[in-house]
Amino acid sequence: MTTNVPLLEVRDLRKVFNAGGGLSGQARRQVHAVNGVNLSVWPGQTVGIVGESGCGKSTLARLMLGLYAPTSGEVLFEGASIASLSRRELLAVRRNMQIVFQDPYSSLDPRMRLRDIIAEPLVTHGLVGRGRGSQGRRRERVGELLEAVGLGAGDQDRHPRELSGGQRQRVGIARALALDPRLLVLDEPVSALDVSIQAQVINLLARMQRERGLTYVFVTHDLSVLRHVADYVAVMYLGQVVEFAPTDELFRQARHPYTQSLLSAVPVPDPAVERRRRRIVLKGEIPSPDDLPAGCAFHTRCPVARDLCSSEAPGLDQQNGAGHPAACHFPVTSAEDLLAPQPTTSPT
Amino acid sequence: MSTLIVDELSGGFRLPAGTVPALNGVSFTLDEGETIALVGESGSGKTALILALMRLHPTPPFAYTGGRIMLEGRDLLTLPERSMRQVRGGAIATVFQDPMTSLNPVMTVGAQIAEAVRIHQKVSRDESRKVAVSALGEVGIASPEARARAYPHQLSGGMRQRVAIAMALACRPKVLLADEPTTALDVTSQAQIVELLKELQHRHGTAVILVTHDLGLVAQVAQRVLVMYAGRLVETASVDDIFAHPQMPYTWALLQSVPSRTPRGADLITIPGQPPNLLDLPRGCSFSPRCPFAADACGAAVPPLAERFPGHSAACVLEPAELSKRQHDLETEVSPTP
Repeated sequence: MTTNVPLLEVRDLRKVFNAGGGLSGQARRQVHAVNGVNLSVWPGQTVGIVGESGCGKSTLARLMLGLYAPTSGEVLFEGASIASLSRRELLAVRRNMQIVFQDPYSSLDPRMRLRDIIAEPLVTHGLVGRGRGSQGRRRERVGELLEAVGLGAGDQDRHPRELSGGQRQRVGIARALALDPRLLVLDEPVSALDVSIQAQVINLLARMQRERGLTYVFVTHDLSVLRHVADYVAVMYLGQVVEFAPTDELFRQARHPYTQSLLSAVPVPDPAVERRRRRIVLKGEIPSPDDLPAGCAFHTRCPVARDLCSSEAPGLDQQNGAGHPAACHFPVTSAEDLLAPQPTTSPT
Repeated sequence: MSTLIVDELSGGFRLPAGTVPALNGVSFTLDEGETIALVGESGSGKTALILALMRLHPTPPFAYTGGRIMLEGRDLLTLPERSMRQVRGGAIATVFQDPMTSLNPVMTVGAQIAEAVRIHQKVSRDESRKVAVSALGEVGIASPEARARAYPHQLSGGMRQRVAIAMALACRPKVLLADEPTTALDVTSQAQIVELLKELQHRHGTAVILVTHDLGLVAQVAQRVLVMYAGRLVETASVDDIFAHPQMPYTWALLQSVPSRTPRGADLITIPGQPPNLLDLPRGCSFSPRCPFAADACGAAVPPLAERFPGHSAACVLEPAELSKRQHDLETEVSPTP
């Protein structure tokens, strides 16, 4: 196997949605959901994509899978641009990349039994027959998959409504693994689950990756989950990747002020640490992606923005001695750079 | 002096399939200016307790089967509904998880805050409008006069939650019940809302019960913690004691399942199985079927919530020393120290 080619690569990817207009009577707006993203995912790795609602992380995930056509730029799977593939070749690529969705309640058809939900991709891709004659083969394969994700082969005949949220998410994972893909895109796979159940699913995903050599793109808003699962993290803001770094490095030395404020906002489950902590609380709200600010997209909320920031957009490739890519004219070295100076008379 | 005393509160839902014992002998006190966090998994009874404190459960199917809710010396369970309506939004206010569903979509936000003020205070329409605008200003909404004329759908999620908080605090409640107030928000909005709640609480001396499943948030804002499981309180302690030496295996396992407390790559300690069906509770301790330390004694009787250290109570049959040894063994087994 060649390892000098990323399993998945996106190049200057953009997606613009047209909103409004038509019968709604509003003016047409162009929503820049993904705005020039470059990213490589190497085999066997987990790349985390983190950001707040509306930052474009889910749109990026869907572009990667070819579920949306990009407005410009390209997606390459094992070095081949998806757009250039024939139907047949595209089908083969699709087998190799699957998705697990956030909400295990709406992503499973309530009228289908587990056996049909999990067998559906196998049938669609012609790996097992649709008819009665293939029933035994289907049951066998579905049984294996259910057992692999910690459910019982005997659960085949159940409906999703009979399962808890954690069990449903296991079904979603079994369905994604049915075609033995190489890449899984996990779109907020544990966000809808209780913390104890979340831990079960995280452990399951880690085991599947070890056993099957899977590559993950893990999309989430939860930094503490990413810290546990990801090898690399891409931080997104308003459709752009603003920082990309190995996970440990990102948590130790984030260079982009937005990353710092995200890290600062996450509460730590330790009351002693929380009492000592000073937080960067960002002012205002995320601008609308249909009316992007000029210059750096973050400058309207950045505590250390200067004149240059409102006129010129920084590139992600611009390193500024940051050590890893950070799209900032004036990268910071620690959270202290962004906090107001400590009052000289500090009680307690 | 305690603002709120909840004493052996019990109640359940009478359904055709049987009675669901949603609340079982819940007792705690809440002091002026204090923040208590109420934690537990979905279905543990957290929201059922909050709604029961406000008498917001429809009766039937809900029925109180015992206990008292003493607010400043009055038992809320004996008040007529008319007086209770004055308590809701007056002495006790609530902020819920989803501000889109808790605000009226066809009223401007200013009008709905003003309405709440008029229900509780003898003020004119004009005065109530002024109170609403100043309440919006107090929660950090820029140009409150203009924003008061906005409808909820014209505001972002974080702004809507600010409006909900402004409405809850407009009548200066003694107790604020906040049910997952930041769960639907992004992390940077969450940080803003938490700072705001802390500041307002400090300014007005409001006592807060914060329902959450986010243990980071608990560590950030709470002074005391109540842990709920299957309709009972199973552990109560100061926030430091809960995090440093939990006395109930359920609490310990909850803390262990938080990813940031476990080294990267190591398996997380999980709680096997699901919370129990309240219609079919296991014998003895409800947590015993999922408990990594369960013994025969656990199935015999429900362990009472008993004080183990000053101010620290837990419902578990294991002795503290035995418990801490077993917890330590499991922690080192899962993530061996290099």
